[in-house]
Amino acid sequence: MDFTLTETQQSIVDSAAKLLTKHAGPKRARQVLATSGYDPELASALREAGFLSLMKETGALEAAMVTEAISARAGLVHFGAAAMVAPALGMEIDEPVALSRQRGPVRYGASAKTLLILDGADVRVRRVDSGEARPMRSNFGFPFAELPADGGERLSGAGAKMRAWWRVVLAVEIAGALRGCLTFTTDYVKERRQFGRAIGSFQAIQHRLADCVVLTEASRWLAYEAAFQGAPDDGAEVAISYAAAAARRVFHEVHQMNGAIGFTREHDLHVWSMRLQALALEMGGA
Amino acid sequence: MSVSLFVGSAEEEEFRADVIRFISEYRGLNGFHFQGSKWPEVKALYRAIGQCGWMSIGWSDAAGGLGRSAVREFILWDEMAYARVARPPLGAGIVAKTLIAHGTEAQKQKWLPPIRAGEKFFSLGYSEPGAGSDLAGLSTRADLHGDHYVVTGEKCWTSYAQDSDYLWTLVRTGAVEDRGRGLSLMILDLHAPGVSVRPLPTIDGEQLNQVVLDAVEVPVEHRIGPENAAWRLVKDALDVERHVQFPPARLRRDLEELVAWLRKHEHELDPVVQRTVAALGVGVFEVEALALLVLESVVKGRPGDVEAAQNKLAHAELSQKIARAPFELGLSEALIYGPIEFLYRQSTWETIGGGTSEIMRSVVARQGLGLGGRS
Amino acid sequence: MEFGWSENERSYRNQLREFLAAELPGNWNEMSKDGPGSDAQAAFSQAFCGKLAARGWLTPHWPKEYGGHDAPAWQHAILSEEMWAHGEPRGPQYMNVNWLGPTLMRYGSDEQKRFHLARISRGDVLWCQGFSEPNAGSDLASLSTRAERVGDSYAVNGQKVWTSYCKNAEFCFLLVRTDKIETRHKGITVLLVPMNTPGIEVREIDTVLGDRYFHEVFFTDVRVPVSARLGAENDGWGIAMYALQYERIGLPRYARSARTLELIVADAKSNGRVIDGAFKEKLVAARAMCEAARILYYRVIDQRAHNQPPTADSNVARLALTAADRAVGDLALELGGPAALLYGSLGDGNFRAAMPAGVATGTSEINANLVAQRWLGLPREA
Repeated sequence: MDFTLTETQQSIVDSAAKLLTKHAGPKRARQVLATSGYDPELASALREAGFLSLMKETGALEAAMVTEAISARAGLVHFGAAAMVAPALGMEIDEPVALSRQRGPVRYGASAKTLLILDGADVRVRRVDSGEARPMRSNFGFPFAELPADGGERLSGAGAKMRAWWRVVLAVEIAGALRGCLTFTTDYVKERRQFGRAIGSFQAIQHRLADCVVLTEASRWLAYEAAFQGAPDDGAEVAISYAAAAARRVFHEVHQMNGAIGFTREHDLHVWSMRLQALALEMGGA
Repeated sequence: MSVSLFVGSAEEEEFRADVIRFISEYRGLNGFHFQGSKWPEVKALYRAIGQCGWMSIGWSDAAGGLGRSAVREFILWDEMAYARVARPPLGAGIVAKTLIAHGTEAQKQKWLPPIRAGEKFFSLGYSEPGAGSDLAGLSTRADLHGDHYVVTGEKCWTSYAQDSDYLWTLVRTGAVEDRGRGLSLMILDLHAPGVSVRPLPTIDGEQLNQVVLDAVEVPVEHRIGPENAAWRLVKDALDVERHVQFPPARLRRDLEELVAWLRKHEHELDPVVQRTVAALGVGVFEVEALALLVLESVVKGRPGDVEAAQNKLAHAELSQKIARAPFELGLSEALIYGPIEFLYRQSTWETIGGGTSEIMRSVVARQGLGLGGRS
Repeated sequence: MEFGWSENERSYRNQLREFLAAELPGNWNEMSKDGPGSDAQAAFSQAFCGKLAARGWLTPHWPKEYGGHDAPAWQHAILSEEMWAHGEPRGPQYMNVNWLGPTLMRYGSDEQKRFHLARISRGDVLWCQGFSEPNAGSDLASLSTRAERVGDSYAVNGQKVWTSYCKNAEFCFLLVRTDKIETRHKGITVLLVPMNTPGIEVREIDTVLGDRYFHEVFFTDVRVPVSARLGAENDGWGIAMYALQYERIGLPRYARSARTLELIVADAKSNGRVIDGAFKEKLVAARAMCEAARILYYRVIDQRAHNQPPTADSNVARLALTAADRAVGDLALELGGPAALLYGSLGDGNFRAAMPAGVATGTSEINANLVAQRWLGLPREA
């Protein structure tokens, strides 16, 4: 048990941070959301930097750290699907990858070349041909589409593994978005003044933001722990259950604290907050 | 409206029937909207309501109204909310009632008839970038130059400013240190030179506005009440309008739509779903009861600050609980654009707009429970 | 960063479990239902701690010179976890191990260390903690129990309240005021007071939490030798804060709560109750909160293991511990049905145990203040 980064981990975190400063961030997220919602430039920068093979070459925990960092910078790529779920199933497949439960909207569905379909105890791997995806309008921070869920190559018995890794990826992404919301809101309540003082000096705000710290921190550590342990069913269930509950709670707290300006698209909060709900719901909220 | 706690007198219920008939016979409205992008349709509806004499139903005879009690106003806007067709316009409520109580004859003659007819509309110009919850800290200045004020400053989060004729606005005519005692109320023409309205797109797909006032000239006779005396007027105006601000039938309708949506997506038989819906149903009755306490205080002319704060708080929170239920239940269909998803985004605003829940809680704590305020 | 247990750590945990299985009597659940302050549990704990000490498991993480084995911080965490998961059979002595010892090591005179640490590590002494007063709860710095210097002793007058375990305690870790009340935290001193000193009167407070849970302690002209002072006069605040950093997360309460969830499931199964989707969902949510508390607790242990000074992460962990306790306490009641209302039932026992979690050792509000100010850097309330 050790919470301190090793030298290798530190250098991965540092180089991811450097890449994300250049290729991601709230401004970029707003631009991308206004168009396709998927950021191919960020995706290729991550690929060229070798981050997609982290899981195989270094470990799942390190891949999780990068996934968290991308989400915390509001990056719009499905890194966790390509860099964690697919390798966990022993596959090297064409990016971008999207994940499907057979029903419900598919995140990044319209830009995916490969679809991993969770089909009970099995997984099916299906190519997505152009024109198959039907984009669906949503305000929840990601692009969604409806995709056919038939056919594909069947991986018998891989369902449990895919479910568990998918849960871990979602938990890690939520943890990153929570961090984005918390950092942004903390800065805001320090600056915003009403009644002659920063609103962050009111206990009514402080206590709720302290609860958000608990939710954010615990979400991240539980998700990292589950990744480190190889996504055991139990650990993955705990990680996503906690993170999803945290997402729902923190969303409302940070919006309340940001007040009216928090609803405007020119204020950055929404690039992190709206995606929280989508992530919490992706596997049925469990 | 379906089952409700409130039953009025025979005449009041007859009036309700009239309102319901009016809505069902009215053509040109289709479903879910309050205002926003549907402004031309909503404006036409207001005009039709004006033709029924209902815009001014609660005004005195002398002011050109029907002189009916607050109960009729409550019924009218509660049914409109249930039908999701319109909110009580600012003009017919706060503006008209303040003019009737504090306006000059000339002011009444200028504005009351077009408001009554549903022809002229007002936006609320209170909030500023630096004055949201702390309204008394606002800084838009109005300086007197002969027969007019020159107003400079910035208002924000202004709903409907893009469609309205006038801004009902609070401005600073005294010193900043005087806080609430240095403010005046005026009616500012939104088409006057120096006014620019900049849209702020919001996550519910609608817009708020920033209204920049750059040396806008406002005739002195457009000031309502004495100079620096606005604080009292603003508060009085809220007192006589609070029974129509948060109509409980809106929540009943929200819940009905939630149930319909759950049915459509085949979740209605899930026991967890059923338990959740049952709890929300009880919540609707609770909020209705709180709304009736507000109505009672208005009818009896009693101070109802605490009742209003309780009602606003409970109403806002329940609207969010209803809209969030599919998310809490883990139903991912709710992410896709549609009525439930819209409710989700719209209701997030409810605990902020019209006084934040934090301010409401402070009112309940200090005035209702007698806890001390901060020094 | 890694989240695994070493071979040593795993084997240590197994040994502890075997030891507990052998040592806890068959009626342990019944015996422990009144909490660690009860007579029955106090008597058992005394003997139990002696046995732990004999195996070197009472204070393994202490330095050898004070009766420990220089074991890593993680061993102590494992020990606490296993104890707490089994209803804390150490009774009040968990306090000795968790915060009294470390505080005495840091601030005690050689004589104090020699005397007190030896007894604590042998497991044959009980302490109580004299912090709160009727008018000094969350605002601890306003405490007013006075200690006047008279020759080579202090004369103590005043009152403490919400004091646990003091009926059986031999010593009290007492905060007193040695300067003017206006000096607030700058005029506070710590005294290590033998509870049999004349002038001390203990009265039990009747509470819904259990027998002998809380007491009032009255001090009337109690003479305490200057040699029983811990640290310098008026230096007590820093000492108390140091102790609190250890105390706040001394208890892995989540281990008990997580165990309760297992018992709830076993109980439901044996009663033929169907564990449906709604039931399962609540269990998973409550367990996730226990796990959150666990991982945040580990975060603090990790800082200790790296010899880093305590940070507001311990307040973060404490908030999570409280939240988990409450969630499980509520659930044990809800899922236990009407039988949970009976004294000593699973539901009742957990609910009572969870109730003081957000109030004791600093309220959740105080913890939240510290998180806001120290973790997030928000300004103090004016």
